[in-house]
Amino acid sequence: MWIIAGILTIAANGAWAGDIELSLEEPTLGSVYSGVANIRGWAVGSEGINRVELYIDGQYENNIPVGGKRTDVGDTYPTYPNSANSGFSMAFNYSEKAAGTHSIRVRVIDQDGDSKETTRTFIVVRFDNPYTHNIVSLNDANVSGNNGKTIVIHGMTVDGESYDARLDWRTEIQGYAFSEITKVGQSDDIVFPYFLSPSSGVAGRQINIELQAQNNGNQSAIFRVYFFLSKDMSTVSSNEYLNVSCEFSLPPRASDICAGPIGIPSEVAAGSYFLIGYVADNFPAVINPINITSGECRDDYCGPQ
Amino acid sequence: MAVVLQSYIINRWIIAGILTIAANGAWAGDIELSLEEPTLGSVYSGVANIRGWAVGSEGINRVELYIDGQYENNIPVGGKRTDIGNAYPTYPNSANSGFSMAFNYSEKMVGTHSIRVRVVDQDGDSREETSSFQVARFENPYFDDPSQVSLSNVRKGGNSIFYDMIVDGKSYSVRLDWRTEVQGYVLAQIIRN
Repeated sequence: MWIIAGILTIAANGAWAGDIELSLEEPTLGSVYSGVANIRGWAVGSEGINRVELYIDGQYENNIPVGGKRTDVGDTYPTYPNSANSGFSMAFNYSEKAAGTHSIRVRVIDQDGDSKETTRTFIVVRFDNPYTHNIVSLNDANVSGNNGKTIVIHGMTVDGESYDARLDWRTEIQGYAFSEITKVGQSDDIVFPYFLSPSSGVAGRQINIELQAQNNGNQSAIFRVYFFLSKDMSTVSSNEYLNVSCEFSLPPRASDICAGPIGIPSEVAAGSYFLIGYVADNFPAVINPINITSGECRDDYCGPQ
Repeated sequence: MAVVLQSYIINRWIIAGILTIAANGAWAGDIELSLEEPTLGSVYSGVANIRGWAVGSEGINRVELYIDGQYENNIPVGGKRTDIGNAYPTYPNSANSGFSMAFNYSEKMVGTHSIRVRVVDQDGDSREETSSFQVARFENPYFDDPSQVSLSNVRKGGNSIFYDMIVDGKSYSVRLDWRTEVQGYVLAQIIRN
């Protein structure tokens, strides 16, 4: 195991790093962040850890302080120096980055100068001001729930500007965090030039869809289109959610395409439905009719054939 | 501007030094410390930060964390703080004087708790800051399965958001408040129905 890992790492980093273990726990892959949250994880090595470097979008930012108590890691790696204090953590204002997708790279260097790193992406949603000291007002806002999971705010006021926002439960913080922030008026600039999906599908199998979104406005727009299979073309409910969504991050005047398979749950009864792509009440929705037929399942598996 | 700032720091050395001798039995006038989170008296729930900054003319050795008088662990130091570096340019490593750690406040009981952060410099001298915070929490301090969390009756009240929540099959009434320190909404009240 060591030899294999060592050979691989020599090719990647020019140094032996098979005895460094690293876990980046926040941000989680592809998650949406806003405001001040954590960058955190742990790192251990047989030679001891010298430092943990942070890079955002390929640029070095700073070293992340190391030494946080991690008895769980200490128990797992009892022979590695200081493994019980191997946590690294820092507060990070994600809103200081532009709205959209970013990469984070954490590079761990041990006392011998050998290194190991991990890279992933995260998405920033934010208000215009990256840090407001002013009162955030809900006076003119409409606050409601959606799907039993999401809190939807229409018209919250931040620094005199009106925004629509969504809050979703985030396991890592055990609380609700922004998953979407859109400046009011901005959603009027979003259009979906086309939405392609088959007119029929089979329960337990997949269909392929393709959706184009275009931002006709002058500001960047980030939003997520959630797909539902509903009997009613004007409403969707949580039990109709197909567990698939498309994330769009569109600069002004830009367009993008989201394409891929959507699984039709095997328990869907045969009949006529609407395949609906939904963002929020003030966004346009995409709706295509689809006829579902019963699938043939073998050995408890209903999948593409 | 630089001259004025330096004069201000020198004055603080003298004043703070006398006070600290009485408090700690050691000269610690040249340690400066700020605990930025938790903020005094605020309500915390779930995983959030304990953070702040510390500088000293002799350099900082460690930052110790005590909750309700009990030592918990040392808080890692070395986070980038250019603002502190600019304010204390003559103190070693002041531009990397931030301390921070993720902390699951829900592992503490519901109610008021004290937090004490003790900074020890390379000479062994120390300075500390004490504050208090409140914990609001669900019965389980940590949920791994987000499908076990659902909400209903979402509404606003003033600048707060209220809703009913079912977590692990138990029902709660919950309030979210805006918190400037995190630039987002946080759980401020959790009442078991």
